[in-house]
Amino acid sequence: MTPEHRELIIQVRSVSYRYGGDVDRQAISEVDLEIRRGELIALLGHNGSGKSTFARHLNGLLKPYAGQVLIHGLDTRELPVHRLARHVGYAFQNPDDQLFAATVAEDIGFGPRNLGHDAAEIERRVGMSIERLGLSDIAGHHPFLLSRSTRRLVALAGVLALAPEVLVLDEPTVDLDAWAADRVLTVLRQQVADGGAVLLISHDMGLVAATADRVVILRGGHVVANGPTRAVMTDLSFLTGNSLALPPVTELAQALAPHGMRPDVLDPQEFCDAYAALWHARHPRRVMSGP
Amino acid sequence: MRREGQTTIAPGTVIVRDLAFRYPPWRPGLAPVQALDGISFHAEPGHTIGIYGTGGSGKSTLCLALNGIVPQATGGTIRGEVMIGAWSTRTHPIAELASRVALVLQDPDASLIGRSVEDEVAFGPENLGVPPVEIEQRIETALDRVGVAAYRSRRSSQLSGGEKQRVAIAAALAMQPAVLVLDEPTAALDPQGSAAVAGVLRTLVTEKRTTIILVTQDPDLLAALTEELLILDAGRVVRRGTPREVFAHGAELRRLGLTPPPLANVAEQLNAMLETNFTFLDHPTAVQSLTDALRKSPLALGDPTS
Ligand SMILES: Nc1ncnc2c1ncn2[C@@H]1O[C@H](COP(=O)(O)OP(=O)(O)OP(=O)(O)O)[C@@H](O)[C@H]1O
Ligand SMILES: Nc1ncnc2c1ncn2[C@@H]1O[C@H](COP(=O)(O)OP(=O)(O)OP(=O)(O)O)[C@@H](O)[C@H]1O
Ligand SMILES: [Mg+2]
Ligand SMILES: [Mg+2]
Repeated sequence: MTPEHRELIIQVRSVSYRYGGDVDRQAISEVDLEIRRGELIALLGHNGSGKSTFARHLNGLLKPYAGQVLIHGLDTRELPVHRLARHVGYAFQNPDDQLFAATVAEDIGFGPRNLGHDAAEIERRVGMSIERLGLSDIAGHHPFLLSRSTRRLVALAGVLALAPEVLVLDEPTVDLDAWAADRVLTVLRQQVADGGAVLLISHDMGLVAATADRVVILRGGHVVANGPTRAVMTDLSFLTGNSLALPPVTELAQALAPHGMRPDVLDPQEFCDAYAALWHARHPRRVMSGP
Repeated sequence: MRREGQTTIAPGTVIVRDLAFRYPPWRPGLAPVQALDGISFHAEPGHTIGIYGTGGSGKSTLCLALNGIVPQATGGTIRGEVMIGAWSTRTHPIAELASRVALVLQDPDASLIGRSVEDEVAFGPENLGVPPVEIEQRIETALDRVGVAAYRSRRSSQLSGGEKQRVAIAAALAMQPAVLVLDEPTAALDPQGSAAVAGVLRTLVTEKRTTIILVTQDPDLLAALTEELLILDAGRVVRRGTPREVFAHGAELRRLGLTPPPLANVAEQLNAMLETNFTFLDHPTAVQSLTDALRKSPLALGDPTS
């Protein structure tokens, strides 16, 4: 099935938003975006470009002052928040905006309880979220006495427990160690493999290049790019013009391009395969003497 | 340098000796949480020390021990010594320690009180009794360095995550501290903002001889800025050395839940594939080594037409 034929979950039509008071400044302007099943979309842009503002529209936390956000064709202005929560789960940029309960397990169970699930289902979902993010050792702890990155994982587990069709994650790997970041990555990939979708906001170019199918870039509240990851994430001048950067291996490949390296690799594996091919071509005797 | 008591010790000298700390139990009857255990290091003015470690390994607790919040505001039990110049952070008043140590907290919201951006940045210097004219200059310079000069009169509560982090860094810079402690200072910044902050830190070291203690999950930043790197695991230092020495232990770092810089991983992977001996950590050295390896090929050297 080509991506265009996949079921549309979210349709954002020319959405604009301005925070109260300051009439001159629009945080986002005429943003269009479609999110379909099985898609992992990355949303990038300079600090203050409007990523979090946009993300908060998808679960109804903010309502557009112009344009529409449609979830399965229904306008978020007409949907109650608990209905939206089945479709879109939003993990805040600051985890502390989300946590409040006395224990980690209670905090994670809050969402499913609010959706009206029975005790057995709540327990199942809490258990699964805790397991997927590796939090079993601290299930009984008080969230606010945990380290910052652990609090971020707990907040994320709370969103997973809602089992939403679309995960909207606002810089989910910030402050995480490599091990925790890997777990989050596994969760993202599982979400799309299960037929859901992900909108990933991140400043980590390497992560985006290695995971996203499509990249959307905001600048000053406007969408300035919406295209396949390989096309967007290998365009040096465009990225730097938007306060972004090439992924580290792409930057390296482009520096080696005069020596025959392909300039559009996106992840370390691609880089190593391409470099190894080049290296073998220049060292034919080594190849011959191989086992 | 200035004289303190009998010895001459620079206010920017940081000495941590056998530091151990337990937070008080979160509920009566439970065991206290051992956050740090047997930490020792020493930094002279102009040095940058990096702290790298898994989530919950004690990095933020160590930062708080450097400005006296731990243990003075948190309670708990502490052993060992943390000295800023000749001041012990266990006993020296926190307000006075603030004249030497500025801390950029991991959560920018926790550093800011929701006033105008210029008030946020003025707050520290005002408390130090800096004259108004100079405060004005400091605000301007600090905001400019981190790219938020245009937000001067905005309320800090109405900024984006990365904009808040920039203001929190500016507030620390405006203190002109002898010791600057930064807990994940670039986590919320866009790539250009991260590069700008790295540049600011470099300038502080070379021009002001500031002592910098940097906590980050970004191994590239650690490789670029630090002279000594401490790896924390469960409150203990489990490895230390120059970034080059520490990052040479890729397998060990991965076992702990950490990772060397992305390009160091590439070097390791290529070595496994090609039986080469690449040791690069960063972009310039990677370009050099990978180019050389292609040039040194028998074909390129032996080809009379090239
Ligand atoms: N509560 C608020 N009130 C007024 N303006 C705001 C508020 N929150 C954000 N803004 C402004 O709206 C714009 C978009 O902010 P937003 O938080 O969406 O950016 P972002 O792309 O998420 O940035 P970052 O990468 O720093 O997280 C910025 O100019 C910001 O200053
Ligand atoms: N106020 C507190 N009371 C009790 N325990 C605490 C408190 N703050 C932190 N801890 C515990 O102390 C240990 C170290 O936490 P710390 O925040 O220093 O870790 P960290 O290395 O900064 O982690 P992260 O990478 O997630 O920021 C953790 O086990 C944490 O749960
Ligand atoms: Mg944001
Ligand atoms: Mg921390």
